[in-house]
Parts: sequence; structure tokens; C-alpha cells
Amino acid sequence: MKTISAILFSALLTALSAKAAPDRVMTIKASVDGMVCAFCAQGLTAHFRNHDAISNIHVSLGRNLVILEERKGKSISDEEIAKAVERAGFDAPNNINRVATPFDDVKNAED
Amino acid sequence: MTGVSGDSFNLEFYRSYTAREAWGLHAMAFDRSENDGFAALQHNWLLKRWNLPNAQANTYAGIGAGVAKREGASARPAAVGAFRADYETRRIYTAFEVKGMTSEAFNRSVTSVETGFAPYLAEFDELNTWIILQAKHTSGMDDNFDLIPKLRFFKDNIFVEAGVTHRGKPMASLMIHF
Repeated sequence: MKTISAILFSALLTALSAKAAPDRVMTIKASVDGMVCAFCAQGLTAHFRNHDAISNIHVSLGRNLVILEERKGKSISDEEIAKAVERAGFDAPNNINRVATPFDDVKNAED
Repeated sequence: MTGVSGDSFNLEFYRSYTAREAWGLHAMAFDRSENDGFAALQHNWLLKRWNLPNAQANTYAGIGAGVAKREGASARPAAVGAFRADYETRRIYTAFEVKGMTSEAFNRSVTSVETGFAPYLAEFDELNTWIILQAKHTSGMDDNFDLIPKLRFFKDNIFVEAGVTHRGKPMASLMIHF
């Protein structure tokens, strides 16, 4: 009985950890201050374009947002996002939100 | 970055190896009729950046070493230094810059103040347009002051600007982020 419980518990843990990289595509909204110049913010996109967990990126100067679309089944950590933003010369994001709203809807939203 | 402004020609090619540091080549010809100029290896630092909710401000410094040459004379060792401060929002832009070069051949400094505005608010992937007025003083030259109204455009990784000095001489600048 103990063996069966251990196997079930282990299977539950495996299933839960698989949830860390969800099958549905997530859109990430990272709030970054100081993005007022499109030319100066070019460096922001460079890192994310080459990241295998990111399929799309958009920078909204008007909303102070870096919008990322994760690839299905893959994930990028908040720490990695913060490091990439800092490497581009900006401060780490004030806020990082993950939403299930499609990337284009977030990109085209008013706020 | 390369550009011509009044009588001077400026060429800068930098490689950023961190978000705050870059090194590269800085060359400048001050007066095309006299062929004064220098070329130097220069290191630049972003001293401080203020990332504000709707604005950004920066201070930069650079130092370098190279050679300077006057027409008819041999090249002499030269030292260069630069300081820049800027503040911008999506609507207004201001910048102050001073560049100095000293050598046995000659000494020059270029001081520049720019202010401008964006006639419309452009997004990241759109054509950004700025209308800018630049006042520039170059020491050690006869016609040493230029007032330069200019237009600045950038889109993606390309930045261009063009204008005319108050003496009717063209000014143009090109910068590309690789």
C-alpha cells in the first residue's frame, strides 16, 4: 500500500511540475520605465528574438510595456526577463504579468 | 555613426560590450579647407541613466588616444575626451555635448546644445520624426558657430538626420545599430 501511495504521489508531483511550462500559449506583459525612444529601445528586442521560448515580441512605448509571447510548451522565467531588460540598459521591470489573452489582443489593446 | 556638419566631418564606430560600456574608433576632420583632423581609439561609459515612467535621462563620458594632423605637418599623438548629457520624453528632446581634442598639432573643442520636439507620438515600430535646433561652437576656427535646424528620423535600427547651418552649409548624420 505504501509503495502504491509513493507511486501515486510521485506521479502527482510529475504532473504538477509539468504545469510549470503550460501547454497553452501565454502572453507576458513586462512594465519597463524609460522606454521613450524607439531607436534606444532596439536592444530590448535583440535578446528575446533569439530566445527559443519566445515566439513574438512587441514594445509599446505608449504603455511602457514589453509584450512577449511564449512558445507552446516553453517558458521564460521572470529572472531571465529582468536580466535581459537590464542588459539592454533599462531597470528591471516593475511588474511582470502572464495572461492567457492572445498576443495580438494584448498588443492591440488600448491599455 | 557618421556625419558631416558645416565644415566638419565626424565618424564614430563603437562596439558595446556591456549596456554601459563601448569602445571603438572616433575620427573627425574639422575644416575641409585646412584638413585638420584626428583619429583615435575611444572608450565610452554610460555614467548614469535615469529610467523614469515617461522620460529618460543619461550622462556619458569618453576618453581616447590617437593621432592628430594638420595639413603639411606630420601626425602627432593626440588625446580626446567627451561628455554628454541628455533628457527626453516621447515629445521633447534636449542634449548637451562637449568633445575636446588636444595634441602638439592643434587643439579643438566642439560644444553642442540641441533641443527639439516630436510633431507626433510614434510607436516603437513606426517612423519616428523629430524637429531639432542645434547650436554648435567649435574652438580655434574662423567660422566657429553654427545654428542648425534639422530633421531627425529613425525606424528600426536606422537613424538619419539632415539640416542646413545658418551659413547655408549642409549637415547630415547616419547611425546604425548592429
